[in-house]
Amino acid sequence: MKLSGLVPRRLQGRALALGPVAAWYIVFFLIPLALMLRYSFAFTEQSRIQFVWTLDNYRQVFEDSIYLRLLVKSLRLSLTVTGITLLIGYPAAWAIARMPDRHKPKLLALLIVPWWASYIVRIFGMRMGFGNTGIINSTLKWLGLTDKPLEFFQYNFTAVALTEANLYLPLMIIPIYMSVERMDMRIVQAASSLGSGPIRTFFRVILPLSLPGVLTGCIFVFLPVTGTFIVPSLVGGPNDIVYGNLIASQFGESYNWPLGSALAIALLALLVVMLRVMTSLARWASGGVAQ
Amino acid sequence: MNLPKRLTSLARGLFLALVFLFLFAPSVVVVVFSFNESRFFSLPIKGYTFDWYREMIHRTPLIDATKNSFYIATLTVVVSVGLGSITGVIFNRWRANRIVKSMISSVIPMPLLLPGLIWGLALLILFSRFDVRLSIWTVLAAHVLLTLPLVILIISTRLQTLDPAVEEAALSLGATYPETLYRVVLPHIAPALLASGLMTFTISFNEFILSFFLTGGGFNTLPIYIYSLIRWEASPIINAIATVMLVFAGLLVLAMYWIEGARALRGISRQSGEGDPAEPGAPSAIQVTQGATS
Repeated sequence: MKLSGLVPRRLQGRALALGPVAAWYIVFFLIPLALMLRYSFAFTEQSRIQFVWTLDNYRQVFEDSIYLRLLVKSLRLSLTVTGITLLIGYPAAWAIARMPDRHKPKLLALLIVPWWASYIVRIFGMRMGFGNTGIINSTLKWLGLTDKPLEFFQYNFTAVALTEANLYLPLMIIPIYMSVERMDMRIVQAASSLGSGPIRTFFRVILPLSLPGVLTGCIFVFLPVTGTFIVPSLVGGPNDIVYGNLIASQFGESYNWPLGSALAIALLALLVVMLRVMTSLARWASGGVAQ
Repeated sequence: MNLPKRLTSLARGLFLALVFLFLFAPSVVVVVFSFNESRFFSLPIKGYTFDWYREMIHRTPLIDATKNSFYIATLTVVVSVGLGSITGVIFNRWRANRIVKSMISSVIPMPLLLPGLIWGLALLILFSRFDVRLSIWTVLAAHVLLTLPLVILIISTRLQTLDPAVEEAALSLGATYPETLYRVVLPHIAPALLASGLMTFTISFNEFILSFFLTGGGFNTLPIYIYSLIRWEASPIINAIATVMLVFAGLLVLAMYWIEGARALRGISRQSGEGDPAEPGAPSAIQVTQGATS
């Protein structure tokens, strides 16, 4: 038995110390989610919420094609953003890991700096870039490269995806960096000296070894982007609203909290399942391949 | 042999420069256009002016919103660092049942992982159900929950570098629990406390999504006020406000880097394989990157 250091031996001591935090989680996290679950079985009549038990909201979520369509659109957006950040983030993480040791902390700190600037400010910065008279299109016109605004740089799905990628890229780079950095380069050298080409070495040796970091990064990017709603309303066009906007509007102008709750619970369930799948994949990857 | 090597390192540097350019572009654009004479965000820039800054300081709603954000952030630091550090200490030193511990450690980061949209609305339901008027206190409740996981993780990571035997020694030499906490543990975790305080302040000050639902119509926090400006009055005054915020954030990052950052970041490279495989790289990744939901 190891010495356990500073832990109150008696149960009361521990409870006293952990109690407030546990209470905070229960009151402000678990109970609200439970209430939301309860609301999702209620219904609204003349803007009064009737607390009965009905499955109507869920039936509506799964039968009305617009809800499913927006959910698919949200998933498509988060997959796109995860893809973009992975494609940029993996080589970036690799490049930072191969830098001289004294530069690494500085580069990592630099990576976090934009993350410390306000979320809304960064979205605003991206918003300034897009649109017919936005910085990109006006610059292209000023330089004489185009005579009318390019559609690609208007407020559209691309702008939304690029903005989200800009917001979440650091969250992809850092976990990958951590798994690439601790990789034993002798294994990589062994593979190439045994005659494996660079592409094969990457897919058979390097990628499997860094898979836990990749999966963690994907979780960090995928989950928040699936719940996004402000970015599409600020840098997207009128047709670019996603599932998150739908949820938010039920608590705003549409004023149907029970339906909004059902929409949110459905998303929550989907995300929890995805989180489980991805963490067990990551566990499998770190246990089964790396050791 | 040497030339290709130098070429690849050049390509690597160039690629990284592009990545950082992409990351910093929005902030740079915001700053540059805060000095632009024209009301419109398009190039070429016609002339430079400080008008937007002058206009900014005469806006009462802006000043009120800033004050609110300041109060909330300060209170969040007090509550979150206070509660989180105690939990971090206990949690790190607690040799409980593995299953219990892994259950707790999977619940702790939940507020960071789940989209703020979902639990922000769940909180809104809670407050309306119990007729709690939306105020800085409702925002505070959410911000504490958002920052607690980070404080707990930072403190317990920091404690891993303190040998429990040191505390045992203090205890067996006659120090009481509070004395040991104060004289042994506290000095060791002090830099981590300061760092998590700074981080908590920044997160709360900039937090948008939860505040969006929990401020209601009666008052604003700074990010919410900026949002309403973007919505209803797209003027370079936003750029002026944002520039001040960026400078402020930059100073905080510098302070953070100076206190703990360099050590923590260097620590990442060293802690090879000692992490729990059940949570792939999670603690330190979260620790250095702030909440995914902010």
